[in-house]
Formats: sequence, structure tokens, C-alpha cells
Amino acid sequence: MKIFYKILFFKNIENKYYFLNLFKCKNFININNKHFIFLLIFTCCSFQVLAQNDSLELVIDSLKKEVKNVVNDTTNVAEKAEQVPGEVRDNLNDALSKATKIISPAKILTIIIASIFVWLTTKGTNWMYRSLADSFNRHRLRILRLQPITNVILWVITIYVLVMTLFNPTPETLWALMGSSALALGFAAQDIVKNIFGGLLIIFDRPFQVGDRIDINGNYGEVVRIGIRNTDINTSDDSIVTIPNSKIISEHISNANSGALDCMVVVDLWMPIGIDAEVVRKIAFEAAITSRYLNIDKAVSVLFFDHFANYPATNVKIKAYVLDARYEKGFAGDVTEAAKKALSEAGIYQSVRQM
Amino acid sequence: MDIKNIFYRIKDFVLHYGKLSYDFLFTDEKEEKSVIEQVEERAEIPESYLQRFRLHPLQEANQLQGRDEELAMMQRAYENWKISRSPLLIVGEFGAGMTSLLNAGTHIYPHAKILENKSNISTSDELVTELKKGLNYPEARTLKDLNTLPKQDNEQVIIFENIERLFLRKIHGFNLLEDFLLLIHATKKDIFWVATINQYSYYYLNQVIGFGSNFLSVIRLNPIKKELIEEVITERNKGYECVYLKPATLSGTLAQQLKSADASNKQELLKNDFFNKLHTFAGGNISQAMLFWKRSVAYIKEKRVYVKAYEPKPIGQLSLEELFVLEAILQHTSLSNQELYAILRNSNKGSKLILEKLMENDLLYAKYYEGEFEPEYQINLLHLNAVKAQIHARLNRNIK
Repeated sequence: MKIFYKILFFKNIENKYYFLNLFKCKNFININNKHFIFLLIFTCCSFQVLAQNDSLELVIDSLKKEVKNVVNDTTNVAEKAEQVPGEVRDNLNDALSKATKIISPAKILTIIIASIFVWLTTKGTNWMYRSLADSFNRHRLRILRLQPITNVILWVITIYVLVMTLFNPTPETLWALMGSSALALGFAAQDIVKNIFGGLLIIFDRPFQVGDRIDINGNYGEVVRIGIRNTDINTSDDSIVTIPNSKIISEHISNANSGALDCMVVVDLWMPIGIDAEVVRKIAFEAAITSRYLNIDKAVSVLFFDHFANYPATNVKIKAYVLDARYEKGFAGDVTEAAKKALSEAGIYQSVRQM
Repeated sequence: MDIKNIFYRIKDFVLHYGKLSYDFLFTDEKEEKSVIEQVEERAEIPESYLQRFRLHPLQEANQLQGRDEELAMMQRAYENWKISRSPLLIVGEFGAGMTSLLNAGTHIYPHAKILENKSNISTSDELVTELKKGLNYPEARTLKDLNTLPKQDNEQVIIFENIERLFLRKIHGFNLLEDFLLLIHATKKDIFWVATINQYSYYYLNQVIGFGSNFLSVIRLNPIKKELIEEVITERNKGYECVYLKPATLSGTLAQQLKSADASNKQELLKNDFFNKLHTFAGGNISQAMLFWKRSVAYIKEKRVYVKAYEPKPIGQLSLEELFVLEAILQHTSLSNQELYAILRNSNKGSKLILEKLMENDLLYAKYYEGEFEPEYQINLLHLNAVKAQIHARLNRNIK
């Protein structure tokens, strides 16, 4: 028990109790955790042993050595702490000089000029695609669908070349940069990133393409542009509807022509229930086959449906393909007008008025 | 579309835009002057020479060249009719020589009667009047009467030219054609019917009403070979020596070859180049080839014909309405303003205005038929290829 007492109240070179100083050392300085744990375990074990055997002087010696090491560590740390402000200053200067090397005015100017050049190039390629599409109307949609892909490729190549030539980052830096920028963008520009990824999905997954006639959330029209952030649709009343790509990928899309030039048009005619179906069929069929907008390579069909909901009526559906999806409304109007005129002449619309 | 075709389209596209910018920057008065000079030069060509290249159907079988295969097919169709009693349909391009072929075919069936239908037939009365002559049945008043023809002693062969004149692309505009087809089927046991149709009408009618299924035998006129066309033109130039002039646009290879060639070789090279251009333009159509030659004759001096390859003026981008008008005319061979108005369902004045514009641009010409006060409009053969190309490309029609 004497020895135990000795250890507990052992004084170090600064004339302070060792056991109590142990915690102080751990708290004030960041000493090696391994040393500290070892010391604690060793101390506990020693107490146990000492309780049984009071004559283990060797333990005391090793304890003394350990204590000395700890004291030395503490002294080194204190010395280092005095050097910290200088080093911080040096590091700051170093970082600043590196930063000015990485982002110089010349590099910023290069990036601006390259971006303007690429932007002009994309405008030029877009114009070229449109002109080619006008000249090769039969292949219009095939040509136009290359437009967004070319734009994306141009921008990706430009960004890659600029980063690799101006900054020449190591692969580790590149990954770190990508990770950190993804995190930053994720917080700061969530919507923009969503739109961009939506745009890429539309371009590569291709649920629709430029020239297709689609319906998204009640907006029906021709896709005139698929951008990185938005998609433009030209509606039948000639207004451009811009829809963010993030919205498009989460909505149901109805595509009328799916990359084909022509599309099916259904023209509805309403007749009295007691019409002569043979006469009406002939008129409806001929109204479609004589239309200038008809795609004559595809079949025309005429269907009859009876309705009794509010008043009895026959719905005549003329199903035909228009030569180009752009003339869809023109075709529907032309067929309706011709059929209406012929049906009036045949005395069928008059009977509607009588009803 | 094959690769060669795509290449030519791209070339045309580049040349077109290149020419536009060149014209914009460099065109001056000299060019206009040269056009006037060309017109004056053309005026010097004697009428007697131009007569040789007039477009008219040949009357004799021995004058017809390059149609042996088609004549053999006509013979076979006639033999087949004796067994299967099926009528014959001949499909051809404008100016491909269908009438000449029918005239030559009369040696196969000498007692055949040819019914030429120049203008549109719009009523059954007009059709009955026409058919009465051919069927030698003056008592007939309606098509029903013709369905029950009294049996003739000899086999009858009726050639009905331009069957497309029986329809008009409007509601109820197919009735007469359908009645006529019914008449053919009703009388085919006793009459060998031969009908001709232009290929645009055939394409349209076939797609919309399955017209072709009414004929078991269909003969399509093939393009005439380049060598044969050259032979025909040489034949018509008998008594004249042809001198080939340097064309306005010369390919780099030809320019190089001409530099190193002597006088006789130069003529040979220029002649080859000329006939290549003629064949590209005409594509085996004899009427177009004749027109090309006529347009290429620069002047004639002392029994010498100086020939400079004609370069067709580009027709430019036509508007959609103009294309619809041209397509309607192609489908019917020719149309009057009233008929066009009925087909396009637009205003009478509107269709007249488009017709006038197309006439001004030399794409159409007006033709007056006997007894008709209103002209019918036809496509100018010189621009037929360009019109066809635009209809194919812009209206997505699968016919070239």
C-alpha cells in the first residue's frame, strides 16, 4: 500500500502530483492517445498487482520513463505553438500566390473568348442544320435531331479542353473538384442542375426529338428546340411555350409522330343518328383522299360510332395521315370543310338543323 | 435515297448558297446583256431546222426506236387477253412517247380504235359520246347501254388514251372513272381494252382507290437508252454538221483534257460532255431530250449547227401553294382554272393568281383545245425534273 500511495502522490520534476497531471496533460495538449490509454491501463493493472505485492519496483521505473516522455512531448508542443502564426502567414502567402497562378486574367479572358466562340459556333451549326433541313425536307427530322447532340458535344469538348490546357489538374484534384462542385451545386443550384440533367436525359434517352409533335401537361405543339435547361414547343396558335426539362422528365408525354414526318389525324364529324351511312362514308372518304395535305401512301379509314348521352347522334371519325405533321391542323380543317360542304349538298346537315 | 443522290443534293445545296452569295456580291450588267444576246442568237435559227425537232407522236412502227421490249409486252398482253380476258394498262412519264408506242402497236392489232382524250371528260354524256365512236354503237345513250353491247363478229380492241382525264380530285370526282372501270369489266370478254395513264395519276389513283388492281397486265415505259437518244438526234440532224461549243460551266477534268487535246479530240470531248448533260437532263425521256437539243442550238451557219449545252435556270424554292397546284396538274396531265379551283378548294381568283405566277416563271404553259374557250395548263417539260424534285422532297411523295 505504501507503493500505491507513492504512485498516487508521486511528484514530477515540476513538483506536481503525477496522477493528477496526467489528465491535465491530456486535456491541455494533444498527446498521443495510445500513450495515454496505455498509461491508464498500465496504472490500473499496477494498482491491482501492487495490492497483492508491494515489492514491484520495476513498475515504478517504467512509469517514471513514461512520465518523462509525456513531459517531453508537452514541451515540444509548446515550442511549436510559438511558431504557428509565422507558419500560417507563410501558408497564406503560398496559397495566394498559387491561386493567382491558377486564375490569372489571361486565363479568364481565354475562357470568355472560347465561350463566345463556341456559342457562335453552336449558333452557326444550328443555322446550318435548319438550312439543311429546309433543303432536304424528307430528312428534316433526322437532321434536326442532331442539333442538340452537337451542341452538347461542342460544349463538353470545350470545357474539357479549357480545363486540361489552362489548369492541367491531376486526376485526384479533378475528382475532388467534381465532388466538391457537385456538392456545392446540389445545395446552391438544385433546379438548374435538375434541368441540365433532364436536358441530357431528353437528348440521349430521346422520348421525343426536334420536329416531333408532343403534348405535355396540355401544351400541344411542335418541339422546336431542346436546350440544356429548357425545351421550346411551338403551339398551334404559334406561341412558343418554354418548359423546364426537369418538369418534362417527370410528366407524361404524348408524342404524335415519334420521329416520323407524317402523323395520324382524326377528324370528327357529328351527324344525326338516322343518316345514310353509305353516302356519308363515301363523302367522308373522298374528303380525305382529295385533300392536298394527305399522305397518299397510307390508308384512310372511316368509322361510325353512335352516341345517346344527351341526344342521339352519330360520330363519324375519319382517320388519315397528313403528309407532314406541320400541316396537321390544315388537313383537319380542309377535310372538315370539304365534307361539310358535300354533306350540306347531300341534304344531311339540313336535317341536323331540323333536329 | 442512295449515296450518289445525297452527294448531288449536298453539292446542289452548296452550289445554290454559294451562287446566291456570289450573285449578291458580283453580278453586274454584263450577265443581263449576255441573256439578251442569247435570245437574239436563238432568233436566227431557221424554222425549217426547228421543225425537225417538233414534238409530235410518230405514226409508223419503223420510226419508233428503243421500244422493242414494250412492243413485245403489248403482244404478250394481247395473247394473254385471249385466255384471261384482262385489260392492259400502259403507264408512262409525260413526253415518254406513249402515243407513238400505241401507234406502233397498231401492227399487233390492226383493227384497234384509238380514243384520244386530250381535255378532261367530266360528265358521263361526254364519255358516252366518246365511246360511241370507238365501239361503233351510235344508239347508246348511257353507260348502261354500253354495258350490254351487241356482240360483234370480230374481236374488238379499244385503246383509251389518258384514262386520268376521267377523274377530278374532288368529292364525287371519281364517279366517272369508276363507271368506266365497271364498263371495262363488263365488256372485257369481247373487247381488249388498252388504257394509258401518266405515272403521277397512276401513283395517286393506285394509292387512294387501288386503281392498278383493275388491270392484270401493266406495262411501264422504261427510259430510252443514252445511245439511242444520241442516234435519234444525229438522225434528225442529217445534212448538218454539228459543232460543239464550250459549255458555260466546265468541269475541272474536262478543262484539263481540253487543254491538252487537238481540234478533233476537243470536239469528241465536248460532244461526250454534251450528251452526258443531255442524258442527265432528259433521263431517257425523248421529248425532254429534243427540247434540250433545241435549247442548246446556239446558231446555224452554212449547214453547220453550233451547239452549246443548255443550262436550265434554277426554279428556286416554290411556295407550298404553288407546289400543290403543280402536283394537281401533274396528277391530271392538264387542268383549267375552274378545275383547279374545284380541286384545291380555294377561291377562283386565288387559283388564277397562282397560275399566272407560275406561267410568268415559265413553269406552266396554257394550251387551248378545240372547242374550248378556257385554256388548260400544263407543266413545261423543261422544268419537269425540277418540279418533280421539289414535289418529292417537300410534299414527301414517293415518286420521282
